[in-house]
Formats: sequence, C-alpha cells, structure tokens
Amino acid sequence: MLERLFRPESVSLVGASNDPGKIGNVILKNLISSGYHGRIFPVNPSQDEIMGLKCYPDIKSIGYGIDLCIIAIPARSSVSVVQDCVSLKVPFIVMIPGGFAETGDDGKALQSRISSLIEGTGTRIIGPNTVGIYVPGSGLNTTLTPADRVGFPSSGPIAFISQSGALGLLTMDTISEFGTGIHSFVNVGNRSDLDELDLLTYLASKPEVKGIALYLESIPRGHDFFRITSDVVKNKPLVILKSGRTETAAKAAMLHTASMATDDRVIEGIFRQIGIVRAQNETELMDFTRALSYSSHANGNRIAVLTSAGGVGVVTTDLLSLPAHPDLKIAEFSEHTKAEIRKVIVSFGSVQNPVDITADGSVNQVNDILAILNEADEVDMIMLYALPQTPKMTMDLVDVAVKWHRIGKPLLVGVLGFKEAKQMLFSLEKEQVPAFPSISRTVRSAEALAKYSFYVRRKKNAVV
Amino acid sequence: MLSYDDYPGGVMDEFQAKTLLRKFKIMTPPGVLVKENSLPDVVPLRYPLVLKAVGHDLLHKSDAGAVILRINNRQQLEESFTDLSSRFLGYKFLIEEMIHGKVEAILGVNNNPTFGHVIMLGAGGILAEIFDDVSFRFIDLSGSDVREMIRETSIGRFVEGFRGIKISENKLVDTVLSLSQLIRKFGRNIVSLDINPLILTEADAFAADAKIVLSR
Repeated sequence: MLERLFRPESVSLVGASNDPGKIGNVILKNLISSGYHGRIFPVNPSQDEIMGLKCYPDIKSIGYGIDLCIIAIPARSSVSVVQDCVSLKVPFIVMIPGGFAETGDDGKALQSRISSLIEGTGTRIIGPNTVGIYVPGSGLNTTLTPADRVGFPSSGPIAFISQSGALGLLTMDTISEFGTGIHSFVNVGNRSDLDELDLLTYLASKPEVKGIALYLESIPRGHDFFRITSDVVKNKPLVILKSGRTETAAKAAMLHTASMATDDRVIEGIFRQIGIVRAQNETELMDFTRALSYSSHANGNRIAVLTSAGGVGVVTTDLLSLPAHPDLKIAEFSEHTKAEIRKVIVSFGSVQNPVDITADGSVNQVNDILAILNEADEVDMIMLYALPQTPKMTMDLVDVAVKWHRIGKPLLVGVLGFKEAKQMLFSLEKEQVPAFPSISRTVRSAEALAKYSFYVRRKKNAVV
Repeated sequence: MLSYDDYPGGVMDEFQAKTLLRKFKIMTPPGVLVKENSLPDVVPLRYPLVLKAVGHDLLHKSDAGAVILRINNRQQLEESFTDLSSRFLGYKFLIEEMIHGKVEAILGVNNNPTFGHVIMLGAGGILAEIFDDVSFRFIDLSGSDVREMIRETSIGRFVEGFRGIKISENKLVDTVLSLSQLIRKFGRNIVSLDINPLILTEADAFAADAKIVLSR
C-alpha cells in the first residue's frame, strides 16, 4: 500500500538549503507553502536551522520515524542516504536527482546499485530523475518549481501520473487557470522501482479518485499493463497520452503483418480492447479526464447540440461529421421533440439539431430546451454552448447547466470568449461540470465521453 | 512446439503453414502438393485452379512470378506446370482450387516487444499496406473483441451487405479465434504469421495464402 507515500506523517528533506538557487530550498518552501501538515525534518550537515526548522546532519540523527525521505542532493552522494533509509526502515524515498540510467552506462550502474540496496527491503523508491509528488489533500509537495511562478491545482477528483516531470508541471500550471482540482500528481521519472502500474493500482482503490490521467513515453511491463489497466477501468476512467508514435515496426519485416505492427496501431487497438481512452496531446489528456470524471456515462452515442449562435452549431456539426470520428452521432429529433422546442424558441430559430435559439435566446429558454432534450428518447447526451456575449445570456446560465448536469443526461458545455466567459468556465469547473473554452475541445471531449460510455456498456453487457 | 531448426531459415512454407492452420479448423482452399517433378494423372480438384511454387525462400511468390492463376482445364494445367517447374527447379508445387470471393482481408500475428503476440485483422488482402485499414488486439481476445475489430475496419461494411456483397461474420470470428488458439498453443517461437489474402465469402473464410516465420 502506498498510503504513507501520499499521506506521510513525517518527511525528511536531504539537501535542504537556505540558498534560494538550490533545489533543496525550493522544495522546502513548497512543502511549507502547500500547508503540509506532518513534521518536516531538513537534513544538511552544514546548517543548524533552515526556514525556522531545526536542521539535522543526517537522517540517522533525526531520532524520529520518517515516512518519506526526499533526496535532493547529487546522484553520487545519494547512494549512502538510500542505505540509511533502508537501515532506518523508511518506507518511501522520492529521489529527485538526475544522473542515473538516463545518462549512460555509469548512471545505469549507479541506478542498479540503488535498486540492489532496496531489494527485498520495505523501502520503495519513486524516481530517480523525478520532480516528485504533489498531493494537495495532504499538503505534500516535493516538486522543484517555485510556487510563486507556477499554479498548483487545488484538491479534486483527478489523479495524474506522468513519466515526464516538466510536462506534468506545466500541465498542472495550465489546468489551475480554471481551477481544476487534482487528487495527486506523481512523476515516476526513471521508475527504478515504483512505476505507473503500482501507482494505478493504489489510485484505483481510492474512492475519492474519479478518473486517472496518465502520460506515458513507454509502456511498463506489457503483460502486467494489460491485466492491471483492465482492472482499473472496471472502476474508473483511465485516459492515456502515449507519446512517441514512431514507426518502429521492423522495416525489414518479411511479412505484411509485421511491417504494419507499428507501436501506434498496436496501442490504438489494445487500448480499445482494454477500454482506455486515448488522448493525442496534453490538452486532451486533461480535457478528457475532466469530462469522464465529472460525468455519468451515456446510454448511447447520439448527441444534441444547443447553441445561441448559428455559426457555432455549424462548425460543431462539421466536426462531428468528420469520418474519422465515428464514436459520436448527431441525434435526429422526433417530430414531437421538434414541436416541443418550437413552442419555446423564436420563429426564426432552428428546431433541428443543432438547436439554435439565436442571439435573442435567454437562460430560461436554455433551461426549457434542456428539459425537452432530457425527455427525448433519441438523445443520449447533450452539448450546450454557453455564450455570454448576448444580453440575455447571463451568469445564471451556470446554475441551469449545473442543475441539468446533476439530474440529467451527460452534459458538456462549450464556453467561447474571454471576458465573462472566463468567469463562467471557472464557475462551471468549480461545480465539476465539464466545460471547455473552444468548439473543437468540446467536440473532442464529447467523443471521448461517448467512447468511454461505450466501454462501460460493453462491460455491463459482458457481465450479464 | 514449433522449432526454428526444423525449417530452413525458420520459415514455414505455404504448405506447412496451411497444414498447421487446418489443424485449428482454419479453412484453406482444397489442394494437392506435387513433390516429384511430374504432374499426377488425376488431380481431384475442381477447375479453375491455381498453381504455385512452394519453398521457404518464396515468401513473396507473386513478386517472384511463382503463381499462375485461373487455370481452366487439364491442358492449361500441364502447360502451367511445365512453365513453373522449369523456372523453379528443386521446388515443390501446390495445386489449389481458386476461391471466388470479392472481399479480401489480411489476418496476421506479430510478436510485439511490449505486449507479446498481437493479432491483426485488416481490409485489402495483399493491398493492406496501401489501404492502412487494420485493427490490432492482444492475442488473448474474445468473440466480441473480434466483432469490434471487424467494425473498426471497412470489412464491417460487408457484414450487413454492400452492393450485394456479403460475408459470413461468424466464420470470420471463428477464424480469428482459431488463430488466437493456435498462437496460444504453438506460438512461442512464432515471430510473425500472415494469412494473406484471407478470402471472405458469404459462407466461409479461406486462408488463400499463409506464411509463418519462426525465431530460434
């Protein structure tokens, strides 16, 4: 169990420093400013006190049980600290320094030494070559980016595992713009010991985690990957951005199948088989994970679109009609549905799908039409454009969207614009209504939800 | 267990590969193998026929000119045999009934460095690489997985019928599952396997050509 990695009661930081240019300085600041509620033990033989905390020459002299040891000193000197952690039975080490397997033969040898030190012991390692772990719920922040320069998300339902530290940090910074919260972020680095699958197993068991986003550069332990992720997706959505879509299949392959078996094609098929939703970039990774974590699943793939701007509806229809996106279909309204909508909107609006209530449209009309669409059997999910640029589209739209999101069919909201739109996005995110600042992001996320809903129905049918 | 050393260069020729497929109830066109350099007096097959030279170094037979199609009678068969046997000295020859089917697929297996054996179904038969219309799965797969693979590719269009052309979805599913079983039982040394083309008809699925490459 990794409970004490995510919620350590005590942390030691080897390499803690008063020098603002040192990583050990930034990490200590981040630990303090993130409100870490356990005890912090800075370790540095040349200091007596750092940031008001008593400093120890080494971890042996702390004399208090340590749950997590953060190592922020150069690779070579870190080996003896690992040895100390093993003898003190410290359960977890986050190993920040680079200079290991990623650098060549010497580094590989150094990493093997560390692996053999912990083999068969109760000590587990995240890293080396990692920015560490961030858990807003316990105030744990071992990352090395200064908190005054980047945004750290607040507490939320999304778990985020990344093979790349930098991509993870900048993605967290980005999603904090609209207040997306995360359960935890872990950068696995060189994954000398704990890897993505260990973390997935733990995170899948936590009820407060509603969805998991994973950035992978290579698949760890292929057969275990299949088995473990198949288990994970039984309980929660898993979205993976797998980079490095190279044509690595043997070019000289003698057979057709071998020459077509590129990583990209194989992963596409195997992710479908398992029920993993695949993202193509870091924006989709977070968009899809939000959409899937915040939504119930749909009973089918027919979507209704509701807009107050005709052009937005047309662009949406075009995107949905692309042959490359078969996961989602534009719902065809019944005569009854059309008649009901006609009662609500102005004569020059459109009662077809996409429904266009025009620039004259009001929040009340949106509410009435959402009620009709939620009743319509031919509709499985709904896309609402919240466009705050016209007079009658006020911030009350947020309450309407929140209400139908909670009680109705899956609802995704596109919010276009900047001035008031920004506030609207922020408010929707706070209520965990999946909302997106562009047409294409809304459409792609709707497709991801349709695909995930298909996986959920497939699983249900298989059980019966 | 298949052993590299039993086959020159680790390559099972078409006849050997098809014999293995038939053990797992994958259909191949009715055929006879001619070992000596003379055509039997009686060939118990129905015209039109196909004549092929068979050997472990003939992985791409069409490219090598080692296939003669649409042989309609005994005289054409004799002429074709004389032609092929003069060009491919020391080879064996396979005479098969020609299967009529408008839908050609490719079915294959590859040993992937990450996932182990993966199975591929695709449209286009020998033109598969041009169409790039294929679907992969982990070798351990279910019937419903296969049905999804079929629908991920344009082969799915022929399940309900397209312009009067229909395929048997059930036979295709059985064929893919049979191949999966074969690999799980005998696959340890199989690096790569092609059934190409797999000819799909309204009633059946025929492995019209097959190749297997083994590792040591």
